[in-house]
Amino acid sequence: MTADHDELENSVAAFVLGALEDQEAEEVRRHLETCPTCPTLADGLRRAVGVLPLGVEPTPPPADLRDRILAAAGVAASTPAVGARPAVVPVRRDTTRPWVRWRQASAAAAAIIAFALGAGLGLGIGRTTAPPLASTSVAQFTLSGTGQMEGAHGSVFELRREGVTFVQFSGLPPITSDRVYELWLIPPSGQPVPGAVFAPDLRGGQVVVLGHNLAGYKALAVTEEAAPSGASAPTQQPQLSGALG
Amino acid sequence: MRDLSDLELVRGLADRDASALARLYDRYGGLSYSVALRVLGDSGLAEDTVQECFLKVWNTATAFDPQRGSLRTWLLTLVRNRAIDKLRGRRSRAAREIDLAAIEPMPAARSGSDPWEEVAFAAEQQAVSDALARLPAEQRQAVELAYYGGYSHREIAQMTKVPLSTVKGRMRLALEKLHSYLEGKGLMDDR
Repeated sequence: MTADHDELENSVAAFVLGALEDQEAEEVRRHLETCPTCPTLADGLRRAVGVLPLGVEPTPPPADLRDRILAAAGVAASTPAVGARPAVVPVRRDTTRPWVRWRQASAAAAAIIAFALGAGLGLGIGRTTAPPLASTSVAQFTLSGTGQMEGAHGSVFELRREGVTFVQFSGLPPITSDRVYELWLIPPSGQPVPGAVFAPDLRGGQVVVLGHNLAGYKALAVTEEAAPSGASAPTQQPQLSGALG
Repeated sequence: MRDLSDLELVRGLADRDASALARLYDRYGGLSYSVALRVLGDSGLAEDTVQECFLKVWNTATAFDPQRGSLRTWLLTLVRNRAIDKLRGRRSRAAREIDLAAIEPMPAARSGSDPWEEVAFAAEQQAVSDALARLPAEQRQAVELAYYGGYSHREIAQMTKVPLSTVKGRMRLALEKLHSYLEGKGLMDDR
């Protein structure tokens, strides 16, 4: 390899970043047309440049920008936003930790929790001597595990009207003390929303309570994150998940 | 409601399907705005940039070849280039722009019904942030001055008071490390 080649090779990164002046950029461009090795280097560096914007500090755009763009395109502004969240669900991550939120659930919800737990989750709400809540409507879903979470299972009970959700886990693999499981709420589009963090009990079970229903979400998922507070966005693919409805 | 993959979005845009434009914004509008704001530091100019770029995508979608480029990378690069144009007052296609024509091809088949595409995207964003945070400060600075500031390597050398070859070397090391970190996480395969 000549000294010229080394110089040109060392310029490829600046070239893909658009940081070379015209003349030097043209030299590198011509070099890439003939060199057997530099195009591969350029491809790899270009991929890295391509993902740079993913690391930008996220700032939400003004709420009316979407409608302005659609209007300028001559498209009806009434096209519903995919991922727009209903009013009951917080748009931004609540700074109150999820397990504190459930303690602040309404007295009615607390009474339902006591009833349901007393009834024994998994046996079916109402199968006790206590009178069932006639107006309670409970939607049930299942979370299934794959891979390392293959034996894990989640039973989701959503009390829609009362605005509370239980997830009863079983078969959770043990985790180390520097890790937690994190439950995510998945909207139709956009980022997963943190729901709760929890650790399995000695038998691999746990019951997680959310102080809201699941309106506006299409799935739940669980990943393993760093203790004590989990992450603001998932750091791995979920191996325990399920669709809602 | 089934999610559309980026490939299906491109087809929808080419068919002048209004919901495809809306979904494109829902998917990448926030990130586009954040990039434009990072470059320009002014929310009004950032909004204008995003609007211009989305309209350009809408008006040229029939010419966009999905086999030729990744929609996401193409859109975000367009936003970055347009923002740099505004920042530096350029109107011509100078060498400072990142070459849109060189964006790598879209992956062949992506399932449109993958519910975890958003999870994967969020994980990728976190991985890129982590990778950038791991870079030595001077390497990250060289790349960010070029990418978000539109500075040439000559200008960066003057600003940071190091030789030209050092600036080039820092850019190369930074991008190589970013690439290899993301490759290690399996995130460089099909982008």
